[in-house]
Amino acid sequence: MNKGKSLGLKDWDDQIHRALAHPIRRRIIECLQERNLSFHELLKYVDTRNHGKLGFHIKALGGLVEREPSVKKYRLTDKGQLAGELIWDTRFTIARSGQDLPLKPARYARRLRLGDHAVLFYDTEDDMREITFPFLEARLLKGEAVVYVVSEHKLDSECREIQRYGINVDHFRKGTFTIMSADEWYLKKGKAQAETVIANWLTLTKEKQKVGFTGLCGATEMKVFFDYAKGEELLRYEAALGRYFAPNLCGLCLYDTHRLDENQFTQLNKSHGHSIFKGIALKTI
Amino acid sequence: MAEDFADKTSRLVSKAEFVEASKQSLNALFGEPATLVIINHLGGAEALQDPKAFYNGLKALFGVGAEIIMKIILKKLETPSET
Repeated sequence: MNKGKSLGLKDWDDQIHRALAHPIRRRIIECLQERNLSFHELLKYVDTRNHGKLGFHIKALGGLVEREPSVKKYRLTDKGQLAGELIWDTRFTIARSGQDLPLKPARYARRLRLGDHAVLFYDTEDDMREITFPFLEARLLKGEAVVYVVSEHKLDSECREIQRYGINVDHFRKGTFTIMSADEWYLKKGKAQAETVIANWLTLTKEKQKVGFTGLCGATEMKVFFDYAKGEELLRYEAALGRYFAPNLCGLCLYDTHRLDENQFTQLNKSHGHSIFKGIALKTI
Repeated sequence: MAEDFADKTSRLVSKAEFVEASKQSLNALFGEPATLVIINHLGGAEALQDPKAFYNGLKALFGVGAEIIMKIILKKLETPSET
């Protein structure tokens, strides 16, 4: 693509924006972000029967999309991946503003930023991982330190799940990624003190920033509060975080929906700025 | 479950009252902009006209959370003076 001519930043900027100007081209990029597709598969996913029209738009995506001759499938180039990210960033910005645009929950979670306090309500552990792991992965790519807080008995199994998902074990060695026990983090001598836990988060964030990370991201399983009948303390803790959330911290609180009553569900939605479910993600404040 | 919900709501209130109570409950839970997003995802304002379809739509979006939302709506219908 573009052989013999090196494109400057402005040229790429123009090319990407020209490419994204048409809904069919955005859809092609979106589909190819999921997996490589043949021409006929693209016809199906882009929802057109017009071969000429699809061919025209693929051609217009030169530099962003290329064809693998050996398997006759189209794939995104590095610039195409970048264009794909731009599409989702735009959607996230619109979704954040409270306007509607379909955004899959995992994609929404990937785009949370430092200063965001979000809640994920999940039905099954698999549902939880499907959204939490891409979120953690995205934070690592942004140069943040990541803490995954899980129930003590799940420390080993979640460590294996995280690696199975594809997060490099080097992150564990470098201190970029830490898995911690929720029992130890939230409870001290059987007590859950909102102020102490919040102070611990701030201290840990400062420590991580001192060694060069841009901020701290935490995905934390909150089951421990229910296991030890600390429902009131939990709501107090979340409400305090809802009033003030550190700008260099990003939090995704993980709740098993089966454990919640109506009041807890209501309060938790009110104390977080973003509520994420299996089929929808909402900016709630 | 969807049938139960539809039965209960039709016994308690009119369709218009159900629509209003559902909107108010969603507003109280998630805020007005997010409620508009939810209704849009469900296919527009007509989605609230049919309690059974509304339940199924919410279930697809919220999973088990839909059952909690339904309980909140039912509670509101049963105690309208609190609205």
